[in-house]
Amino acid sequence: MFRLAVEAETASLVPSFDTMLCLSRLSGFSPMPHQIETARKVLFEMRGRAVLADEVGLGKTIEAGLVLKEYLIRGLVRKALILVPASLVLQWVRELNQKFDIPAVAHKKEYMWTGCDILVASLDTAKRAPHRDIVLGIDYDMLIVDEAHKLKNDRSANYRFVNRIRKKYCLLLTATPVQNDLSELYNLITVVKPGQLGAQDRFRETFMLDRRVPKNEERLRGEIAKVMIRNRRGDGDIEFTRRIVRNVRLELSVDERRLYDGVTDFVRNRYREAKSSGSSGSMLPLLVLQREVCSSRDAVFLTLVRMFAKTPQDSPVRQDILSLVELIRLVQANTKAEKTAELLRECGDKAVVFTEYRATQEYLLQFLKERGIAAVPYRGGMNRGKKDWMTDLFRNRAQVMVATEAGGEGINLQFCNHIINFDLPWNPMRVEQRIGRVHRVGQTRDVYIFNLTTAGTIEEHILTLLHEKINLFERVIGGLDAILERLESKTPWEANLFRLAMEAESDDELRAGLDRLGKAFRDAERLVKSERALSTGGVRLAARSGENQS
Amino acid sequence: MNAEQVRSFVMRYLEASGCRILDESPAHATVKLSPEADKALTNRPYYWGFVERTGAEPETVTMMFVFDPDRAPPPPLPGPGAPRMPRETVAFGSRMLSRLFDVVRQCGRFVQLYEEIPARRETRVRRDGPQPLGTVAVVNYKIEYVCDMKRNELVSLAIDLNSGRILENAMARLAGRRWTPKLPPDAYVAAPRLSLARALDELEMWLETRLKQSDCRWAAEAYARWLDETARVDAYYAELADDAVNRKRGEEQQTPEDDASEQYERRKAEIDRQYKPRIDVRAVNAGLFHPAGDFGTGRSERGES
Repeated sequence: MFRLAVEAETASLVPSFDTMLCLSRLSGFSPMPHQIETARKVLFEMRGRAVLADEVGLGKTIEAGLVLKEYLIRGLVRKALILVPASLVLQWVRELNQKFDIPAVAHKKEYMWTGCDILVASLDTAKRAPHRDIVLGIDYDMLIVDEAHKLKNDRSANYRFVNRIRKKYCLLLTATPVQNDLSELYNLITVVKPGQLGAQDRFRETFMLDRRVPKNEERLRGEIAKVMIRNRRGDGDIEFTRRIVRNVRLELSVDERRLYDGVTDFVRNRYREAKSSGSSGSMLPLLVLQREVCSSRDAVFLTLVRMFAKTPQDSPVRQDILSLVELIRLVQANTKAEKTAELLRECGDKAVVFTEYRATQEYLLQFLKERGIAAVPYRGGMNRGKKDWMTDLFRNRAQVMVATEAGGEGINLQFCNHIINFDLPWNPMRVEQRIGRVHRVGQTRDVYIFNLTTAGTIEEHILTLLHEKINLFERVIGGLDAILERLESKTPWEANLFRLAMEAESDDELRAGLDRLGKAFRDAERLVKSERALSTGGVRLAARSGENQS
Repeated sequence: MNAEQVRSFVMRYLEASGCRILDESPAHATVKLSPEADKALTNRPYYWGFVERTGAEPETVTMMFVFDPDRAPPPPLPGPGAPRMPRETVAFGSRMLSRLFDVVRQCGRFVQLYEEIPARRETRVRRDGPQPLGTVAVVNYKIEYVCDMKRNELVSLAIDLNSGRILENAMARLAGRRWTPKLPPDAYVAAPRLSLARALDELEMWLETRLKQSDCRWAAEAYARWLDETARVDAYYAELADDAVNRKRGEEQQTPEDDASEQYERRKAEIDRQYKPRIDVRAVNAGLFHPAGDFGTGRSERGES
């Protein structure tokens, strides 16, 4: 035993100041090169205080986990606090437990602040009484804040609270260090290292021409690079596999065509009425209806029923709806579903089928089951455990996952490389989220994307816009959220599209309108890109100076 | 530690704690734990409390240690009636192994061992009467060099309580001999000249001299970082204080709960904690060893040279 004790102690020795020990102690997963590089930089150049500002999907959590693990192994951190949005608490705990073997726990009871060494809590809980005073009374060895852009305003309670926590090492994680204003970045950095950029007024004088436009860029980048790391998807060292897009153009059957025309006419008429009467409240169901008719008759039916229930007894609209329901009854087959089954059989591999609508999802599950294709559902309303279970089933048993939800956190489907867009969301963000589930760090194969569209419908135009004008599918657009935010300053993107579609008298007019939208998008993209060059330039500079040193 | 070292470590622990090994391969070991190991590893304080209070026959856990998940026998398919056996994957960095490390550190803190007198000397013992055994105190120190980063090393020292000689690499020297917890027959422990407390003082003095001579560039570098950081913070808060004064002349008031001076103190303390270099020394474990003959010229040393 005496000798074993010495052996144990020897094995846990830290032989030198500047190696990363955590890598040899991870079992079951290996981080990407850029994640290791980032962790190394945080540990040995930034001395444990940094803003990690990688773009979404590059694994900030993993980088933070690596840093935390390294400090734990070296015994430099015993007490750590991880503040995250409430919805991410369990996910963090799971990642730290499974990937890093770090005994982190989620905060539940008050005694846990002092009783547990590595605690994951929601920022909103922690900053409230009575927790607030307990937290501020503890000397933390390490503090990690996820979604740190919530600290961008130095007058907010969040900012003040985090600034007051006593900490030795500090990591702030955010994908959007600058949203509107350069001083947001200033504030983040001041939490990490007060004084790095001088006092606020001095910072304004020296580095800011305008809220968005920096001056003395070179120097600013240099300063920022000392405390912030930003990896981007476009950067050379992060390899992504290719995206291969196939648009599958289908002809509607006669019955489906009739239904489509019927619904479109109906929607147009309602739209005009609503517009002339000035009530905009009833627009949303119309928009939904117009989109649903491109998906499945089941989806249309449900919405129509709901509409029917809402319209007053004596309204002539009721008759219209009933006749549409008649049309639905005539539709026997779903061209898209047939094609989906065919595609699935052809590729013979795992695939995710995305649809926007619950009704379509139910229908597809039923449809695939009848054809002997194993499929599992996935939707936003499922609780965490069920989502995990479905993902596991998909990984191990089923060929297909039929999903309605792409956003939100947590489904990583790198083991699959086929996506079928059964219907298309109109919002580019949602499309990107769908693809991002599969096409992300860790995907080793090229990703195949199938877009199902029906000829001569609004869907075809939307696809043209998203694919040809914005070129959404083949490449990764950096800062898509920022671009959309800019475009949507007046009206939401989807509402814009809908109005275009409703008000266009002819196909040509519609096409011209979409051209304009596409151009506006590209303009906004260019603007956003030039803004982003600031923060990313800083990173490149840091990388270069790092090379010189080594 | 590679997989083989981990395996060897675990197996030796299991042996030393008296566990019964039921099935073994390079990839796994199925073990019926001894009460000692069960208490240490399975996390069942209530069960053991119950056993001890009622005097019931303890039923220890049978579990499988997996060293190589790919080659170990697969777990039985889950289902009603299927035998359930806990499986633990032990790899470097895994929770089970760090637990084992802790257990071993706790158990292996202090020892007192006597050297077994080899059989060939026995004839001589009878002729010369009982054989005297020396006394050597062995202490394993862990030295930690801490700033914002950390490095540590293990120093294994031995001091002969008779001659007062201090030797390094004590563990290696111990390894060459056979030790037993019982005083062998026909042997006695010669009364040492140095007291134990005195001997430990000697060891500590020796360590201190050594640390003073050691390379302390790392500390200078850390101190430089500390200075740099302090200067930055000083400048920043000086500016902030100016601003505050200016602002007070205006109508805007600083909130009392978070004024700059308080923040400044906090930040300074953080920097101190982060960068100030220091060296921690801690004794990992210690033992009293009673060798036959001179410890310093032990067999192991001859073997090395």
